[in-house]
Amino acid sequence: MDLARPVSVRSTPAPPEREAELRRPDAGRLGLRALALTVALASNVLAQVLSAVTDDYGPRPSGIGWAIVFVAVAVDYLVCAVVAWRIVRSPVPGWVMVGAALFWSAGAWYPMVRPWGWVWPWIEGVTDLWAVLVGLLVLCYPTGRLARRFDRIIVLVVSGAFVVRLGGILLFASPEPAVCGCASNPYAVLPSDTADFWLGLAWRFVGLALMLTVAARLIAQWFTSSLPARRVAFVMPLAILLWCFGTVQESLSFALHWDGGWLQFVPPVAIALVPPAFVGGVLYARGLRSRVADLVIVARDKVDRGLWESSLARTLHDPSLRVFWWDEPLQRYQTSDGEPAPEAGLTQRPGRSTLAIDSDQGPIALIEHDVALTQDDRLLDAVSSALLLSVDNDRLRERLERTIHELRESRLRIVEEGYLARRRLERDLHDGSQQQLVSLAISLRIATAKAEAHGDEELAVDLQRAAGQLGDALRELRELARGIHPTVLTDGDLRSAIEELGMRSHLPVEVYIDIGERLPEVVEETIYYCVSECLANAAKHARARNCSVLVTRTDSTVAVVVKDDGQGGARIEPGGGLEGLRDRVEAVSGRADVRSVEGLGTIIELTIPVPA
Amino acid sequence: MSGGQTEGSRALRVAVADDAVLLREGIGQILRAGGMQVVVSVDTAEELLAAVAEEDGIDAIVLDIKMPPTHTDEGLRALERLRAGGSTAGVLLLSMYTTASYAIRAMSAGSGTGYLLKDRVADADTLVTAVRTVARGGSVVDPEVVQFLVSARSSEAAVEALSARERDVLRLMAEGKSNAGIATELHLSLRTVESHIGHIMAKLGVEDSAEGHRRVLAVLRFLGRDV
Repeated sequence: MDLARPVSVRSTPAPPEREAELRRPDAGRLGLRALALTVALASNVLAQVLSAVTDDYGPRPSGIGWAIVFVAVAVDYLVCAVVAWRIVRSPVPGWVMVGAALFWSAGAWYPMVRPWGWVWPWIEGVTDLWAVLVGLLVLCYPTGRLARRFDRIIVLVVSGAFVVRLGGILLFASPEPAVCGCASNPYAVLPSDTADFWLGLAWRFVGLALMLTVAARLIAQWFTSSLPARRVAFVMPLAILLWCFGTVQESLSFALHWDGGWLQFVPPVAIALVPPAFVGGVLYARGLRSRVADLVIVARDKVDRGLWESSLARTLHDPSLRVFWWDEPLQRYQTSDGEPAPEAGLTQRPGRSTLAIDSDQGPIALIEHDVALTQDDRLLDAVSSALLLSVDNDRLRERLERTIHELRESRLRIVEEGYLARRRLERDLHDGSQQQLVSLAISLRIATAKAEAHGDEELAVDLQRAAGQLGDALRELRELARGIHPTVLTDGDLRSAIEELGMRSHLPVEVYIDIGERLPEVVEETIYYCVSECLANAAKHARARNCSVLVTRTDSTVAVVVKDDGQGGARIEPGGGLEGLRDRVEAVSGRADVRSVEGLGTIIELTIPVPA
Repeated sequence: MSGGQTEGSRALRVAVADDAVLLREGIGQILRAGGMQVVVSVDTAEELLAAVAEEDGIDAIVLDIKMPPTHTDEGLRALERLRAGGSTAGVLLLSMYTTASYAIRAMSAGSGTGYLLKDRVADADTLVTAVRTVARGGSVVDPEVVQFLVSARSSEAAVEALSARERDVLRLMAEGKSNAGIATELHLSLRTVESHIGHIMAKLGVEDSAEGHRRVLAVLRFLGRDV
């Protein structure tokens, strides 16, 4: 992975090839892996058993203790290989571990194959291959790929050195059969003990130098990197260092004929530590990834940008992490406090990397983080998914809230318009038709008087009849206008209006009102029409004998309770009067509760919020 | 027309306020036909108050409750200001609707006050009689309001204590009828009516005071307001 380039994660789902990688391996591949594991384990166990049976350990340390240690290291590698296949997307680390375990047994096989001249040079040649594989394993942590050019060079150099060493053994090695107890080397076309010796020595030194280089690089990286990187892989450099120490100590004891005592167990322990460090680091990163899910929970409530940054930093164990949010009007990234992101050099800063998170509607955020986090691009995938999810969620919620708000406002406006229209209609009737008809009645009255004065009794009677009809019309018009909008509600107050409703009802109605000063017009009208509806229901449908209306107010709400002792069983039904009542109440953000039990009367409770 | 007789030696001097010109003219015509003198005819409460302050000796004022500028209760407020200013002129309020709270408010202003539905204007006798009553210091409540209140209040304890006959008398009292008028209406003797009124006053707990106001108090008590 090129670290200089910011990783851009789009909001699209994982590409198909990634899906394919995530799929479980098929049966053939599983069989191959099982076979490899079996062969590697068998090779190690068999080599140790044969060595014990023949009591021929060659130049290697002997004894049952050592046999157990050798087998244990191999088993350690094989177990870690199984784990690595399960948790690392690339199968390479697993195969490298199996290979290391297999070739780990090569040294033990050497004494067994000595009688066969065409075999033993190959076995001796690959005796150190496990070490090359362990080095490769260290370098390809954690993805199974060689990320840096430096690492690739090291692997090339080691491979080259190994091929040279193998070639050297094949071409030059021709030990005295009497000394080594082995058949002669049929490949040794240029037998030369000197060349073989120097090549062996050079191989050891090159190997040691490369190991030290790798160890130095890991240690340097460990010290210079940030907290998350150190946490991810602290065992690995330690193992490499121990291994180096072991190698040096072994070389010294070989040269000085010194028995290292318990120290000679250090190299196998160090070597055994490498694969657990590998899988442990990967597992730790996976753990981080699963904790990214927590971010979605954080984001469940509205995205608090400052909180997001701190939560992400905590989750990823990277206190240096910064989140820059895209500001659309300013066309730039900035922190939650409005501090602009450092435009240039953001991505070039050593040890830092950035993750741009974009949606279809444009950029969302830029996360500046420790480079170590890029070791697991799925972790960053998870982070960006969580962020996208919460931002999308936020947008949706915002849109929804806006829509609900608009709906509420428009409903209230519609209801207010309705009340206003009623008021206007009543006023028009009052100022227009009603006044004119009363004037007409007066004119008729005067005309009647004139007819009487002129002694035209017939005309006077006709005019009186007309005046009577006009009086009926006026009465009807008055009732109609009152039904449209009771003038007392506008001119008087809610108390008078409801008391009058109570008086006009066919039932005895007990009215208790305690609301202090006047309520907003729309609330008063809502309460009036609701109480009117309730009283009408009580008289008409419930066959109640008594009814009570209670209107009280707290700081923020006004409560209306209308009770009757009728037959009960009232329900809010589509198209029913109670539904209209509920609609009216909900239009002013209130709530209507109907409690009506068959035979036990009805209680209708309205709660309407009012500004304090 | 029965409104031809005059009160005392001179014609009653009446002020009329209504923003509906046609109606105002009609009211004026009826009052004049009733033998009264319409000395002020204006269309707002403010103009009325100014004119009443200028014109001396106004006996009665007929005014619409709803007038400019707000078309709510200007008439009632004008009444309250008149009474606050010490005016004793009779005030007859006209309204397109019968509203109990308005009636109560009008009655609370004291004696010489009336509240009539506009429809009654066409009935010349009712208007002229009502104007005379308030000019005298009596009180008038529209029969429709009274009828409505009687049915609404019939279950209440204080009114329940009254007999059916006493309730009839009270209703007519509230309408501004004189004792003689009540006697005629109910086909009773004047003495019986006076006896009923005495019982009503006692049952409603109305103290002795000027005759006119006593009747107002009885009506108010009847309307359910503590006075």
